[in-house]
Amino acid sequence: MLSFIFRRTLAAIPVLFLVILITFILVRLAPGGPFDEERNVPPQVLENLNKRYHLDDPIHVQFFSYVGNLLQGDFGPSYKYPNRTVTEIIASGAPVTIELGFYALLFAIIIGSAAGVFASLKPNSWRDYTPMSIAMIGICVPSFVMGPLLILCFGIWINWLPVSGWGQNPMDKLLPAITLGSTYAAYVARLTRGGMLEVLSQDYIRTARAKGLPEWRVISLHALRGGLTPVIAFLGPAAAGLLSGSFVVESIFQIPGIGRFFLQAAFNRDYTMILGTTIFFAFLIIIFNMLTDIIMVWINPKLRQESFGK
Amino acid sequence: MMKYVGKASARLLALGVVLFLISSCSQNEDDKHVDPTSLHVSLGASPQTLDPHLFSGVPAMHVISALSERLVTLNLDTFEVEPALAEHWEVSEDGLRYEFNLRKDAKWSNGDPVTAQDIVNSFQRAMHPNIGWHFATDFYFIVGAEAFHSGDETDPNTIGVHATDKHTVVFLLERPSPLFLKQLSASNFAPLHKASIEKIGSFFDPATNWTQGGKYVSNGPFMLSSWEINKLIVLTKNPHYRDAASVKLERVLVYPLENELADERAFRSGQVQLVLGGRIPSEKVAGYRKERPNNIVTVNNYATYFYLLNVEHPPLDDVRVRQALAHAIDRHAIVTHITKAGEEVATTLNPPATPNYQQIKKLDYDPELARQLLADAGYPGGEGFPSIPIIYNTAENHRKVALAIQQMWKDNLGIGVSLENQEWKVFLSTRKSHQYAIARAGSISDLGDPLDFLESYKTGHGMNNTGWSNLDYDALVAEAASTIDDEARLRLLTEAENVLLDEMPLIPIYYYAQTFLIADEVKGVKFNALSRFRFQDIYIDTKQDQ
Repeated sequence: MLSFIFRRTLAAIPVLFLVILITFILVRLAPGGPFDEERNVPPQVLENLNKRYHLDDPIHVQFFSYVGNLLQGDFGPSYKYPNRTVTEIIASGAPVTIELGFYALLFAIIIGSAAGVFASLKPNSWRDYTPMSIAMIGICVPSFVMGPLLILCFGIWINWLPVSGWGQNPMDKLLPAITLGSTYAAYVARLTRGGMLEVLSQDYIRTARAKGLPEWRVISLHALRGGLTPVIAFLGPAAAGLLSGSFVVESIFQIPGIGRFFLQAAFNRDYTMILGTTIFFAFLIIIFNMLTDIIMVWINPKLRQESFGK
Repeated sequence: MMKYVGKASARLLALGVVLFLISSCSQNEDDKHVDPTSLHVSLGASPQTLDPHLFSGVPAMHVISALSERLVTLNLDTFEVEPALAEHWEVSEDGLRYEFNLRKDAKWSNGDPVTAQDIVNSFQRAMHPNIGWHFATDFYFIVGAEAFHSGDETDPNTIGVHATDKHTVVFLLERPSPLFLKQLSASNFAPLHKASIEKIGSFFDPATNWTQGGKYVSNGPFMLSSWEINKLIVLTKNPHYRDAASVKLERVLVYPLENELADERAFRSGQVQLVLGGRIPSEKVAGYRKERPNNIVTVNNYATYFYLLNVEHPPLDDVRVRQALAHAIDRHAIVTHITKAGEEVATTLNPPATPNYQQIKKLDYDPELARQLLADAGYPGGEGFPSIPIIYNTAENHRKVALAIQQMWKDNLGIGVSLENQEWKVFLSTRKSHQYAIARAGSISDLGDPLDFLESYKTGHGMNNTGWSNLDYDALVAEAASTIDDEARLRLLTEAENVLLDEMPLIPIYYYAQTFLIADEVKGVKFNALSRFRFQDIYIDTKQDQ
């Protein structure tokens, strides 16, 4: 197991390096620079700024000094937030994005698996079609439609929940988590239904029922464990998608997460911030995919044998 | 038995959820109870820094202005300079020496007295080459400023700003500058407390992170209690402010809301009481005016929306073509059917807001004249006129205006233009490199003086991306820029603006209007053309809440 993790970690290094290199080149190819304003910056001032941020060095020198600093954990200064470093900004935004992603994932798993189980119990009846149709809608409605709709209903018409903000009111995390989680809840519901249907037709379920176990025990103790396997495989990509896709929801609800910095940095040509946030997201995606692989191998003996060559 | 336990726990769970919802709803109700000492406000997107020499954008300007008191302030009706931190001042007859006498009771938020040396330190920092202040070159008229800023001189004391005693500061100028006093009222001239910044890092290093809650020592009516980027800025009343007794609010909570939709939603749900970003979704304006007329305010700004013409790009190199295009735009239709927020038709570059500035020449909608001009230029009925593009930065409003103008030129002149939107930084870079024919532009002045706008079209100025250069114009503006007598100065500027309107390197379209939302209980907000706000005058009238 350890050597498997070690191999996967080694393989991640060139991937990260390529991400850095490509991002570094692409941001500099985009027209416009970090200091462009409506009024052209006087050449004397621009020269000083370029000197201060070493933007007057040849590009390969800039790249290697950036990577060198990065290895020491320094993401550099932000061009747009002159008093702060990228590291500071990521440290302030990341916990928020991770918290939001966690709630959204929790929502997706609880609602999604409940709906999936419910649908699988009476397949091809209204009890199946209703939650599955809702799930289909959930997959199709993007968060930039879902968010404003929820705000309109719960924030403005019935005025129960705050329409924006984060952590100022205990309820202000509810709507963003639902908005972000709803698409994933729908996926989870469909995956759970599929997994459950397959498991419910297995012999051991029939045995359990024949032994006279109450139905809820058959479902929750025997069937669910197998039925959720596809969902577990989906969790890694879902977690990565939730984190890197949260910028839309962060913008709608004005949440101070890292997704918003990611977006603003691109518009501002804040080179170091674009790189910092991209590396951060790339790192998370790699980690989550690796975790999924490890969990999959761990719960599935067949894969375990293949991976470890036992 | 198991079944029973399952049911019981499910019931308990349901009860818990209901109780939680009830408790949080009632908490929500509490929030809505108006607190007479706090103001919840949105100023627009989150500031990136609150450093007076590094900030850009209106939200930061408002926050810094609430935190600081500059030497002078502007009267928001007359745009005249009034005493603030300086009790009085004297200007020498030749306009080259300004002596300010500071109030002796002025204090920093940590209790230290505000001294003349603080003003000197702040200006030295502004001009320091490391800081990278974008407006530094505008103050090269101060003795020694250019040499220090360009690095030829490294001793900051060579700059002509000196403290002659604890409460007297003197500025020495190389040439008279009529806007200097007004400029001193801007947020860029907020004094800095050097000792507290040096506790964190170098005074002359822009990366020194001193603009944090609890560390920011300020001399204005409010102080910075906390600042979480993209989340919340809390300003609290500065107990050491010299006029603290007249400051009515204990707290100002600034919510950084990124866009107009978020602003409007936050206002409608009662989360913010005042929206000062100046942007309300245009489709909502009519509804507010009809149903909540007391909560919406529209103010005409000292700001103009116009099109830049690249005079190096044929056929725009012919002045008759430029004039024809300008006369063929029905501005009235644009402000009534497209922008709809209460904008006014622009017939000049400078809005008609400056007292004593009489702009005689005006740009009229005259399709007949436009056709004639175009024919004279060799394109009768638009025949043979090449297709040129209008570029604008991606935004719905700009697209609609461009579409309308495209149609007007087609109907009135028989010419076709194409439309092209570009992302903001791409747009700036296209405009800067003159790779365009016609480009959208906008200018805003927080000084309310025609010189501010007209200086921008001098040869080689950072705003003049048109390639236009006129030596008569340059001479007139330069003369106005060093004329102290206001009447003579404004006359020169009128003349300069006439030259600009004759030559037409830009086509004024409308003067901006800003729309603000204000809750019934918020009083004391003075809306004005310069979009400056005095938070110390704002108060909450709880009787209005009943």
